[in-house]
Amino acid sequence: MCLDNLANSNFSKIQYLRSSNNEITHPALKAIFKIGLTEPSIISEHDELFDVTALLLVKVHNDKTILPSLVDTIFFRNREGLFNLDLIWAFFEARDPYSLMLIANYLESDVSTDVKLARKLLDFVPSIDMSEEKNGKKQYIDFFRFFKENSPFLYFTGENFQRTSKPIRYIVSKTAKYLCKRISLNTCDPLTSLTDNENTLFNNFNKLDDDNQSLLSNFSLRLHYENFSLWDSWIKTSIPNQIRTAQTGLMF
Amino acid sequence: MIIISSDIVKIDLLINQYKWSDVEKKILTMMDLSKGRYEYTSLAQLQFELKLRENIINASKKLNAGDMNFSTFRKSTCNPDYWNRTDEGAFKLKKGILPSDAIRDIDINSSKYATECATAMVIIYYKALLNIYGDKLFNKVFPEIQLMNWHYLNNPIEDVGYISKRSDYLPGDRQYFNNPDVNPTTPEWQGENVINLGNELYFGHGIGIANADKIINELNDYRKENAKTSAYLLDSAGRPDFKYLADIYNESKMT
Repeated sequence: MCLDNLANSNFSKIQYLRSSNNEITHPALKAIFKIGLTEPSIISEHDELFDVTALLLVKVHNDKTILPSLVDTIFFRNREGLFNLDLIWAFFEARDPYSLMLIANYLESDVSTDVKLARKLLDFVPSIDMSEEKNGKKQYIDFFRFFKENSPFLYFTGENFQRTSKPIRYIVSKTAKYLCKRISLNTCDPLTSLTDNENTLFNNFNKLDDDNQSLLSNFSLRLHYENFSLWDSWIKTSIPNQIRTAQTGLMF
Repeated sequence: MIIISSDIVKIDLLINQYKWSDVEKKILTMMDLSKGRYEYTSLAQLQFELKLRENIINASKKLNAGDMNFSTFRKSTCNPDYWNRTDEGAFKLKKGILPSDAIRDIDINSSKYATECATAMVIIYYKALLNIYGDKLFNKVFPEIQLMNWHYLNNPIEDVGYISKRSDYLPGDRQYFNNPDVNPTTPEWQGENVINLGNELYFGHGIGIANADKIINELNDYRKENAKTSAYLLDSAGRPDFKYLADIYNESKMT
């Protein structure tokens, strides 16, 4: 593909991207993306070309290096009142929980529209509060703590703004947190197979109500981190005993 | 099961005691046979929900019969006499224009409008509520309107933006067909918002009225090359807060 050919006509560029994207190499797409970054445009078709390029880079070439620029463009367009939903979709479709920190940085922005959008995009995180009064620095720290604790247990839901006004992009697997086992981001399955004992724990845990699941998963991870041998003893006790211990927090 | 003021309703009695349309009777029967509990504080609340569900269905059919086009937000169009089109592709009610007139114009001058599937759903809710509330109440409850998928929803209809698993999927529900393997160059086909019309039919703007298989086949045509996962109907639905909207309506009749 000759990039020069694409530089001359907006119409042909988008048409070409749509119809023949298989023929366009990753470096060529990256070049188009970089041109779009250095020449932000008020012409909708230029933005559309940029969006489709970003989508191809993320979803076809699994290119996560563009995510920082993508986030900055999303927030730039938000400030200008321009269309950014396709870029937001592209960003989350990268399925990279670590990139959420790029959004979290905007929680501390001096620009109120930035903060509002950052909260909206991270609204699935329990500590994020949409109310105006919340301190940006505190929100950032709360998000960071949530992320540090839960990132190995997140899985991607695929929810987006076309489907719902409040997409829950990622969910914490309480079962994985309870067993302290990392999971696949896409399938929610454990990355390593469960032992017979873990399978039993898994089944018993899933019979519990939501409150007890939260109690045990939080307690288990904390104990696992603080004192592995104590955790190893605790997890081998019966579920009622685990709940009693977690309720009293006696092991700390 | 239907419960009004803590009493379980005898469906035959209810159907014979009041006048119901065929659609209302069908929904009532589905609610009665359900394992879920449909609870109301008054008969008026239940009557309102059934009426609104039927109006949502009728508004969907009317929108389908009109000339409103399907387009992405970038190419959305509206009648500039009633709406300002924003740079992000939303339609914002013009100052000095009555909300009821602007919503009604979407039917009258449908060919001047083009948008995507979620915004069409929101238009349907406004049209259905306008039909029940009438101009005066509608304009009081919705003095400002901005149409753009599930963004900018007015508080009284905020709940239509959320979807969750339900014990039943009833005519008038908003549902969603997901298309996980969509071609990335056509993000507008990442899914299709639909209104459940009953009789296993759905209305989705851009596809029309069809059964689930046909909608899935349409979405599958917009998948990437070598796609492995078919589009599918999600096990969830969005509903307005029928009781809240009913209370607004019933209170207005008392004043």
